[in-house]
Amino acid sequence: MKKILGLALALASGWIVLGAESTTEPPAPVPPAPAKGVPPPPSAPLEIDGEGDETLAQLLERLAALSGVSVEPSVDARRRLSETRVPVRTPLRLDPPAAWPVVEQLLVGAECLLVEHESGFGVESFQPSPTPPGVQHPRDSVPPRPVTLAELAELEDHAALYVALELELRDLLWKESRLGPGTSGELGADGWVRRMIVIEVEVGPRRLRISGGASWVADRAALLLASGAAAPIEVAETRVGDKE
Amino acid sequence: MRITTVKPETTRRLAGLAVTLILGSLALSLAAPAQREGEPFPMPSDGFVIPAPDRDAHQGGWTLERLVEEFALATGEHLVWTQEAAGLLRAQTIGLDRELTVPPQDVYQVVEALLVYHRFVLIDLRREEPRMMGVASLDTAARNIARSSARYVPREELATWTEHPAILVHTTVHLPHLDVRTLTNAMRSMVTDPNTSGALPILPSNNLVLYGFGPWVTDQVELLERMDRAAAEAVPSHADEDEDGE
Repeated sequence: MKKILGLALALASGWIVLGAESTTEPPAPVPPAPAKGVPPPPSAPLEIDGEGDETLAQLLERLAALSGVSVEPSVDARRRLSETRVPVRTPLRLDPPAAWPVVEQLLVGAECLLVEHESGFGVESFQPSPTPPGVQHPRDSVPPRPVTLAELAELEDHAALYVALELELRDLLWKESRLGPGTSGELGADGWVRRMIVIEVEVGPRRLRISGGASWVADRAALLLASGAAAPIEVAETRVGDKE
Repeated sequence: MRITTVKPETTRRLAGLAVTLILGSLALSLAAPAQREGEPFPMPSDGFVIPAPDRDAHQGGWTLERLVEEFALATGEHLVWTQEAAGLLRAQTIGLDRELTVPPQDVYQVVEALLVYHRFVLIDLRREEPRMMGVASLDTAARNIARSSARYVPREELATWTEHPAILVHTTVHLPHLDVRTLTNAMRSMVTDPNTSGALPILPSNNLVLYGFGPWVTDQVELLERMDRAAAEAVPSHADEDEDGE
């Protein structure tokens, strides 16, 4: 996926340099440090027994403790995670670099996303319990972390990290299109799926913001760039200037 | 003709290097599942035999739950499904009329064909080890998010997904000689379930985004590109018209 997003970005920006990958990437003797805003890997492998007795809340607690990081689910998310059994059907022994990416996939499956807090991480449920009119939805109270395409390429293995990417909208009719749940016109129609993964076009007439789990945002960004529906903002601005 | 002589010492070094390379390749092949050329998934380690249902004993044969368990064992995929999907997998038998032998190279295609027949989709969650796949039923609320699970596949890699009938993909196809907006409207009649297939026009680039199961998307792309080639012979491209207009 990283390669696909990288290729799409390179194509969109005219940055293709043949052979660059093979000559510029030095061998990595040590595992790379986690990207900014990513939970640190645990100090030991994380084991899932595959019996289905453990809840996601318990699994997340174990992982957070092993990683030495604070993870505080919201009330809704805590309820959701406590009700959901770990849905993995076979025993898994997760090496430290794989632990968070795998658990994040399980969080997304439980309709939850990870958000960055000042002192650690939070978990928000995107299928909140019914709220009275006027009560703020978690999506509105917990902003996604804004990322650039380059940052996104580093985060795309993190399915549950709540991020937002802005692109220049090239196809102004995109708002009429529907690519997966969550175009702005569908918001609120039927609950969580349309809130967890959101494409907003109201950012500006030529701005498109995609927010959701980093893996999903990366995949949709790759498609939008490859199709010509959107372009990276920095490059787009340069091109506008060039024309003038 | 120029003849090059090779010293015995050099020969020994080359032989040593060759042995090292062979042993290294062997070690790598044992450490990781074999990745097939042009295939997104590694070759399953085993096949399996789905027994015929025992009609005399009123046994309907394997359930879908048993099928996906065998699939997980053969492929090394770690499967994930919700309680709701588990109930449906447990309740539904495959419905074969006779025994079916599934060789390793056909495990993905056969299991996916059976799953999608029973309105289940596979969601490709993670390609690095440990590999993970979700199993979701289109008869639950998961149908609303099926489209969201579609993964982006560049046009040139689409052919590798024709043998994955239960995995949703989306791709983009360039059709310079067709009106993609009209085409999208015309294609609506070909879409039976907008949760699992559809098309979106991208006007500035005259591209079409297609989403659906791998074989469907591949067929549509082939059809559309053939139409585009035919249109090219009949009319100038929209891009040409724009240039002329300017």
